[in-house]
Amino acid sequence: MEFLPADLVLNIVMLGLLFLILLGFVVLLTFIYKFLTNWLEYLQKEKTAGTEQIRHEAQQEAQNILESANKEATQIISDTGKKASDILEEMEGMSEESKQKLSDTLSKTSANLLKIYETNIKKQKSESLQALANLTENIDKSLSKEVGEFEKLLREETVESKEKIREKLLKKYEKLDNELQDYKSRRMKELDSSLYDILYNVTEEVLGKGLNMDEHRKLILESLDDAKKRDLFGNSG
Amino acid sequence: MNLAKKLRTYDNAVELKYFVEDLKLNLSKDKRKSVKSVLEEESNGMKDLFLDLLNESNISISDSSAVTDFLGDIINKINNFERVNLVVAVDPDEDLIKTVADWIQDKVDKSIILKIDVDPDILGGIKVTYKGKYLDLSLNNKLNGIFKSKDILKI
Repeated sequence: MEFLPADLVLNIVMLGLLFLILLGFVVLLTFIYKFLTNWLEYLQKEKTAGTEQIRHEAQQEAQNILESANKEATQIISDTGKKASDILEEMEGMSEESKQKLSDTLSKTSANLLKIYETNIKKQKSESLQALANLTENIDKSLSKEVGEFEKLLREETVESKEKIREKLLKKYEKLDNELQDYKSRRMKELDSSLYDILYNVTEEVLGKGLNMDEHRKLILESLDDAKKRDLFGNSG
Repeated sequence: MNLAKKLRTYDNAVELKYFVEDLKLNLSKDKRKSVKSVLEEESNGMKDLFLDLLNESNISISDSSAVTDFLGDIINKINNFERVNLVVAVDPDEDLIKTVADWIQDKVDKSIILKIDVDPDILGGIKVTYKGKYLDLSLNNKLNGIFKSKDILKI
């Protein structure tokens, strides 16, 4: 701290002045910010309304604000200088104890300001982190929801397709089964018919050639008895 | 005289009828000819049967009038025969014909003669028609019945 003057009072005064100058700049910047904000609003109005009148009014307003800010800044700086001068004057009449108290107060104030600043920074940081966390969480939720819906849709379509394919396969299977049954039935009838034809022919062949005259005679007499039993000859005999 | 028993079959009856009609015609053509001389000219297989019938009926061959009446009587009897139509599977021998004819004579009517046709396709048994009624009692028919009802599977 060798670049500072050795006199404590002078240091305090310088610090106070510096503080006031900074405050003036802050006020000036605030007015500039306000001016620019209003300017942008007017520009937007102009964009939407599209009238020269609005632009002119905006320019006028901006000019007024700028001038007002300039005046206020000038006034503040002037007041600051005056206050610094007053302080300087008061300092000269102050005792060592008072000077020490003032120094402590300023230090405390600076410390408080620093603390408030740090608190705000921390709060801002915390809020930013919270917002980031919320944003991440929201994105996560939104993504999960989207993925869930997509999965659901995919599943529904897959299940639906599966069901359709199953139905088609079942119908095809039933048709094939019916055709097979028809074919089986037809073939079985043909087979039956062929089998009976073969059996009949074999039996016919065997019986036709196999009976001797005595067997024929026996069969004829049995048939005549049968005919009589069936009343073919009526009351004759 | 049981003419049907002697003739047995319709074919024999028809043959005898033709023989008798022929004889009757020959006798009427030349009335001076004796029955004996006309018969001697005949070579038909029915001649012996006819002579047997005359003998059984105690009619003398020299009695032309009685013989002429007898001829008419035979024709009438043949015309009045009842006929049983039989279809058999084999060509029947005399023994089979006699057996069947005897059965008919004994169990149905003495004035029935047989009309027999042969059809090997019936395999065995008979198809019989009598007075407009018909029965198929052939082996072929029975087999068809069995095969149609699929009873063969149970055999």
